[in-house]
Amino acid sequence: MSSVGLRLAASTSRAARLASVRTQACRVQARELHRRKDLPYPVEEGLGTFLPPNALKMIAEDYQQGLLDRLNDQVRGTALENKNIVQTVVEGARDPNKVLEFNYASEALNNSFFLECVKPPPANASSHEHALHNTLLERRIKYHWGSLAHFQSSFSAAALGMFSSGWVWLVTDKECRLGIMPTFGTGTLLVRSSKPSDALLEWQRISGQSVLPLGDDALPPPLAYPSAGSPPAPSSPVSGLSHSAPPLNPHTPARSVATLPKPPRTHAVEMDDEVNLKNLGNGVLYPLMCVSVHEHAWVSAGYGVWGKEEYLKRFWTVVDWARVSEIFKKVAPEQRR
Amino acid sequence: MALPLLRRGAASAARCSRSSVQASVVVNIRQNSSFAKVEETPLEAPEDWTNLQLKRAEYKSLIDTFSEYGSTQTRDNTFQPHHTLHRPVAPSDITLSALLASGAHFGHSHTRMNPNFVPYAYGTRAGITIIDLDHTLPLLRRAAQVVRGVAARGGSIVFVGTRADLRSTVRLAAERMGKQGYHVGERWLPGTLTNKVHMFGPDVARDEQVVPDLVVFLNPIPNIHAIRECALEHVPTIGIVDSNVDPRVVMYPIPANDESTRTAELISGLLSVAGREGVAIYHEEQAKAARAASRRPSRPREQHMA
Repeated sequence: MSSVGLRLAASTSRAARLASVRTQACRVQARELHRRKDLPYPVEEGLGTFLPPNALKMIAEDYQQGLLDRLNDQVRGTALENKNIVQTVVEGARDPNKVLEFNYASEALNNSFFLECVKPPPANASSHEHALHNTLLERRIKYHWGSLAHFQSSFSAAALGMFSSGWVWLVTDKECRLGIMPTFGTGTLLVRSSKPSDALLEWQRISGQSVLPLGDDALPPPLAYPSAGSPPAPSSPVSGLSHSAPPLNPHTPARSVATLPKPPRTHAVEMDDEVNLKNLGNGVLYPLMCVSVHEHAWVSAGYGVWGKEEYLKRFWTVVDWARVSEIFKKVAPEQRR
Repeated sequence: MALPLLRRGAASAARCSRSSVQASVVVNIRQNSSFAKVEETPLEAPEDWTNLQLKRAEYKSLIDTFSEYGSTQTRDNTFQPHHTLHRPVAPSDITLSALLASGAHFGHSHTRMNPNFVPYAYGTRAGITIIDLDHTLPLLRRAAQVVRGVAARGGSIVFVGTRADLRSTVRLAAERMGKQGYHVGERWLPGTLTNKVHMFGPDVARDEQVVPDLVVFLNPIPNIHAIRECALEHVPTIGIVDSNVDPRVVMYPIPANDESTRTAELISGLLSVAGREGVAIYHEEQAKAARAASRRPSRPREQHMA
């Protein structure tokens, strides 16, 4: 047994050299709990004219930490204790007994995403839109909506059409198509169901938006394109079926979600056609940015209880387009020029 | 009040089936985007497997997009069940509470206690012998020193763990030691050391070293013949001895629970980390010797000519 003196001497020379060879893994000394992440910008200064400091503190600190504290209380001693937020959402979604865990985790995740896709406006400009110039994202927005202003008005209309709380997302799929997607209450983009909920259908009726159709049998058929008027092929078994598209509403704004143009279809024909199913965009939707549609946000910011419209107008001054564009490039690298 | 999107969706998806027009037409087409549903479909054709892989990659991409938000708790900084296997404890960091948490103090039934084990027993409780971890910890550290010392002199070490749950443990322990680590996870073939020529062939038995310099047994009782062979061939042994075993069967006993997987993972991980340090020391010495040899000037030739 070496004496303490020798051991100390050894520790300075050999141990220092062997430090890299020692266990490279991290040893968990203290139990980790869910704690809110620090924001990339200071909370004390607020977000320009969008959220004053007290409102930002309320959303970013009080609300977020409150959600995580309640989540910690729920998961303590259970199997979800050591899972990260995303795993908690996914597992809470699968188990009907884990409603509270799912709700808290989903709301915390969405709130955190929202807080990181906004940034205080720069000193010399009114918004971050200069970061969008000549990016692929700007080209895609222009392709789908015509211009950034049209997109902003579509997005705001989508948020105004929500009567309940929730989040409105700008989403993309792996083919780089963009769309506007709402989630209601504590819903999440991580787990989507095959059938649209009543809340989604109601939102569609109010806001006049049609979302990426999730399933043919539940949704009304999409708006028929003016150019396509051909009947189904005579060889198809269902050519005899009569199917009329709903009347086009001339006041409908531009589609909030784009799909590749395709001829009008009846139900059964498209079921067999694998290629057209992909066009429906039933794949995974990746989030690019979102807005919090919660009363606590605009009431605490001083807009008043009916101040949603002004809140959404000022939201555009703080959207961090550089970051949104970065996420877009990471998520959809296959670019169709 | 609008319910969360997914709760209604999950319930209604479970309830309603596809419309009758489609039910007879299609078997495999999945319209939903929830990955849970994709996982539940049975795979019937190779295309199904490819589709599953593609969907899985897409879903992983979505999870990665979301993973950096939410809270500070991540998969890396929390305890996950596989950490006992893949994140071994260093010999300098081993604590009594870690041994206790892995259940190293549970011995066998007190009626089966070997009289020679008494110095390492703390007492009896609930009909079983409780092993005194105050003795176990220094003996474990001593074993780590032995492993490090053998490896630092270029010795080869074999980890033996012949149970299903010990297989991956000994494999990883041997991998940590590089060229100097070996493992036996299936069955120790009788005669490996005492019948070398037959087992390895005359050329290998003659030219190479087939007898290891140290053998570590994670479950000594089923491998008693291997221990005997090591004794016959004068190979030092380290082993986890439980309360029903005479500690003198191995040279460096570690009194601990031999039935617990986590104890075995903890102990073999610790010994293999010590072994890895020894291997590093050995390589360092080799490199130093090589540098010294290359710097030594070649004098003899010039003296001879003069």
